[in-house]
Amino acid sequence: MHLATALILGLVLVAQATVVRASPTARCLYVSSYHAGYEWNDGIERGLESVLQDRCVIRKFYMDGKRHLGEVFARAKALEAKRLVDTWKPDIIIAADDNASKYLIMPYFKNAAVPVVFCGINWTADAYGYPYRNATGMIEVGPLEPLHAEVLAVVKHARRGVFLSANEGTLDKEFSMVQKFYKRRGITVTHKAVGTMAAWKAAYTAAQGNADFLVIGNNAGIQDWDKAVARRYVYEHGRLFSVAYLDWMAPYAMLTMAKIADEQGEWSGKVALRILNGTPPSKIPVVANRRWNMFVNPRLLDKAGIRLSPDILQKAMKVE
Amino acid sequence: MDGTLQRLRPSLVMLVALVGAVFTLSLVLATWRDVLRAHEKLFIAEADAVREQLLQQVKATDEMVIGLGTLVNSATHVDADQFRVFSEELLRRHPYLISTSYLPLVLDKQRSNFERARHEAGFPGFAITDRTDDNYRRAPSQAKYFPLLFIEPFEPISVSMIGFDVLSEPRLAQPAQFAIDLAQPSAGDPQLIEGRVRGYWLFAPVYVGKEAPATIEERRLAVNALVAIRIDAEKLLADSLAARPLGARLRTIVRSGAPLDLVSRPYKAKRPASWVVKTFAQNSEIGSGGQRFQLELERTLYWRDVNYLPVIAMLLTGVLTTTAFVLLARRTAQRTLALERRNIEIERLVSEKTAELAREKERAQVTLASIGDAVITTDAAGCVEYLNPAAETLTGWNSGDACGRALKDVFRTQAADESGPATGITEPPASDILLVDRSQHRIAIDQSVAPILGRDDEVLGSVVVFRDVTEQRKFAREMSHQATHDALTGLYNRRVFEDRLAQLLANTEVDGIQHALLYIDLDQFKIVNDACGHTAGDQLLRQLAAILRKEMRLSDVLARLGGDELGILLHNCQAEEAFVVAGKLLQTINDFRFVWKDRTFAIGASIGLVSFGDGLESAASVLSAADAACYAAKDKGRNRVLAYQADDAELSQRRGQTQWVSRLKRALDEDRFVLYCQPIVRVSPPTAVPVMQEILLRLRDADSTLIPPGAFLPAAERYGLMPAVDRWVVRAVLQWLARHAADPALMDCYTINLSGLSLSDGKFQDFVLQELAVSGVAATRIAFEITETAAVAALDSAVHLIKALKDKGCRFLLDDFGSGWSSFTYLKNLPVDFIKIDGGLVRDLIDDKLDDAMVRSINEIGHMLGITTIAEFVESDAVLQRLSLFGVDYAQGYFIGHPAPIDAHLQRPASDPASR
Repeated sequence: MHLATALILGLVLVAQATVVRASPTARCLYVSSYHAGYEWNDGIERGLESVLQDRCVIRKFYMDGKRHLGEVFARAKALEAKRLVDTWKPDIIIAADDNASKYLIMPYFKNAAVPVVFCGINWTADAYGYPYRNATGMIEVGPLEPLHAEVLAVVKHARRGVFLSANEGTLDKEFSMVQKFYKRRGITVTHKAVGTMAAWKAAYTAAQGNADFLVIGNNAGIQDWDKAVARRYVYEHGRLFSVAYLDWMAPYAMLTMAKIADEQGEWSGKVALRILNGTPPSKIPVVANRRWNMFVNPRLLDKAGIRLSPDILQKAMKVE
Repeated sequence: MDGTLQRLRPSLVMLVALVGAVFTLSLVLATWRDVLRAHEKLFIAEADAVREQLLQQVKATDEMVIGLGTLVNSATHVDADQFRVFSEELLRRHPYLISTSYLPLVLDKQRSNFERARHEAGFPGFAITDRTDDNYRRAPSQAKYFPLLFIEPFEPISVSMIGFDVLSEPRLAQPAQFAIDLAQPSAGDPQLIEGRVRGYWLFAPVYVGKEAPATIEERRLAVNALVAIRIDAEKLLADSLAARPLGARLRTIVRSGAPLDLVSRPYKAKRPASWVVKTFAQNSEIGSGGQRFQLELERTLYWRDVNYLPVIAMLLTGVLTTTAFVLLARRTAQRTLALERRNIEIERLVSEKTAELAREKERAQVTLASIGDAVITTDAAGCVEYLNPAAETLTGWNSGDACGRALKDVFRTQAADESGPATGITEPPASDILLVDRSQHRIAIDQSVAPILGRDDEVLGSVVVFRDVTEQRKFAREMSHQATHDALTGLYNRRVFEDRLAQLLANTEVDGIQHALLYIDLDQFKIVNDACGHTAGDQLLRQLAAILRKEMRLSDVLARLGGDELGILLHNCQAEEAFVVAGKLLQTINDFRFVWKDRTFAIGASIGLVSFGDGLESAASVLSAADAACYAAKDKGRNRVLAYQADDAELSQRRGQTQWVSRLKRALDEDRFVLYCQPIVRVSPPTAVPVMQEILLRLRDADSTLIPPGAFLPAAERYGLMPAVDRWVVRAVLQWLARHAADPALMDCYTINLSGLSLSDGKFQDFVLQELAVSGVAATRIAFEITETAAVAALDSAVHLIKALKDKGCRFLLDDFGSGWSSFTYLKNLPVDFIKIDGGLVRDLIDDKLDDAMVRSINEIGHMLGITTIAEFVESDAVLQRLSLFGVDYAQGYFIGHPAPIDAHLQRPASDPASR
């Protein structure tokens, strides 16, 4: 007992010794699962920087998981990141999205001395063993229930739905949550994961005749994605009620209730500061994001002849 | 007095200064109290503001938590993002709001599902927890829970509370239960929140349904959630206090027991206690719904915090006011002193002036009382104010009775020619005014009335000055009478007569009415005068005048023209009628017998009558015509009436004489007489050289024509101008002799003719003596010729004059001796040196034996009386020889020498035949 106490005390002291007060000289390593320019990543970065700017030195590492699918690349990037941690010795690591936790944190820094703040992990972090003693963070959830409640309100007696997204592993969890929601209500949702623009268009077109509604998931991973083409194609062919949960996908859906990447970054920044100021990560529970935005595409809605509730039309931002 | 005033001045100033000091002190103290009161008011206002602000904020917290409850209640699905949006706005607007939270009711049987759902929603570590010292752990099983599900702000420090069951903590469970039971916000006890701020929880219930159930039991069954906010009491109080310099303590009033300290803020300005002026404090309770607080506010006022400006301002005001009043008092005192001095001076002057006025008034009253004139003064209304004694005497009113009465009652006058009652002051002419006195007697007065004017010419009254002029008016009447009447007879005098005559003449030219004039000369008046003396003559004239006056009509004018000459103007009387009247008057005169002593005289008169219509245009011409007619009547035998006829030559001549009067007067004034002389030579023994020269006179007329004495001397005799002519000759001869005193040709004697009037002129003697003295000529060189008639007419005067001048050396000749009816007796009484035998006897003595005898007799008688004789009018040698034979002493006549200018005999040799 005394030994355990001493051990715990020693760990605390060690942990305390590693604590670096938030200051412009503190080092914050941001490890992104994806790449700069990817909307979600950029949103997280904006949120993170809005909090940490001038409070610590932020160094960014991109694992580029959207453009380079496959575990090999991911592991290599994780190793590269680890080396960076080893050499640069950050005071805290902010790990964004699943790959960073899956390939970097969990393998190398679980319960390590360096504190970790994760974010952008879809729906559940159970797969990565969170929480660790040195890690806390924010789970990425979407406004699943309000979004799909509106689907059910618009599409009466729906039986089938299509979840159309890029063929990227992290989206499985997303589809799983959607499918789980509809399954409770006796509705079948099929996941159409595509790798090209043409496939996406084909799947989109196919869904028009086979489904009662369309859930447009993340396009990240479709290399030849062309926004204009996609927008034009959707306008020309979109008759099925479509929803999305990512703001950059709003132009292609009739209704979007989008989680906000910035919230992930901001929360990560706040937690990082808290940790840098001495709060153990374990004292900060893992939470989920709670903010989301709503978009409607009147042009598409008009083309399809679909009427949303006036309340939504009044509150939602308009996109084309 | 002056000293007293000077002592008063500093006393007044000191008094004002003292009052000013007290005033200033009072002002400062009052202002100090006001300042403190202002500070207190400010404190009260601030405290009220703080209390109100705090109350509002407390109410706001109520509204916030109720709003949250409403939000939750109204949403079909409580969304974390909706809760966030609503909460973020509240948190932004209310800094004292620490957090908002949503706590749904979870029954114990629901707990596991609830926790699992939260895991799936992204909260893998979620559990319903309780806490110990901010360490949250899974709560033990309870019947129900109110776990904190949403919390805003969603921060790392607050998210650890997610899952915390408020029922697990009694100090929160109790207010939560109160909120549920009472269906209103309910505050928890004060506590340290998040280990850093003092604050409290505020709960509100969310019930099933839209309305809160009516009973506690129903509420407990219907409640399905709580909403809670946490209040930062320090900020709440700080927000209420803002920057106000107040100390404050906020206590939570609990339902039982003493209030619990919530938060306090001391007043920051900590300074030594000795610097404290006053401490203001206010305690109050505020509350809203389930929140009740006790608020204690205080403010310590330090000396340095006091607003001294009003005090200083009042002090300055007081000092300045005091100074101003002191200066004013000083100035006032000085002015008062000056005024008092001035008043004293004025009083002295007034006293002096009053005394002077009194003296003047007394003097004026004495003067008014003493002057002969009567004076009445009135006021502006015309009521009598004053009467002097003279006025009292004249009016019969005494001052006591008269004062206050109208002037017209006291001073009643009427015109002199009015016979009616007096009515008051009579307008001019004042000379004819009569005063009617109180006894109705009338007194002639002169009056003057003048207004008494004030400085602005306003009428203050009037003054009436009057005097008794009875005597003066009587005297004036007498003077007027004397000026127009003859003093002896009482008839009109010559001036009035001539004025009336001129007036009638003027009227005649206008109306053509004919009038007549009678010129009366008494024939025997001279005899009466000579026989009985002038007194008798005067009496004669008076009686005769009285008789004639009775014969006159009222329109006729009877006047004494001079001596025994009377004139009558018969108004509106034709010539024939006038002749009748004149005859009647002559008869009346003839019928009159003048008795003087034992003698009786019958009087006759010569009357000349002139009718105005006879071409006579002037009074002088009418009068001269009447005079001529009168003398013509006298010449025709006296005692008759002779009417003037314009074509009667004799009358014309006589009338011509009258016209000489003016010419002679002008000649005298213009010195136009010329001296001539005619030599007188000795006869026995005969000499060719003149021994004397008779001074003769010529008149040089306006046209330089020499007029002989026969032309003007009768007129001069007739109209009484001879005395003037005589005097002119005497003065001229003496001056001539004086100028030629050294001339060897100068005669020993020059004879000067004197008229009868000069003989009777008492002043002529003095005139001659004065001229002799002035000229320096020896009186022996002068001899005066007087006619027998003149000498006899004024015998006494003549004798007196002769004697007086003879005493001075002058000699006298009796001229024209033998021509009249004079007797040799007169020669005994007249002490003359020569007699000049009348030329009428001498001239014809060769042919007329009587004349010859008379000349011889006169010569002899003269010689017998020792008088030298002179024969005049010797016009031939035969006469001269005869005279020589008679023994006449001297001869004069054309044979001896013609009259010549006086200077001529000085230049011509005596033997010059031309002199003969």
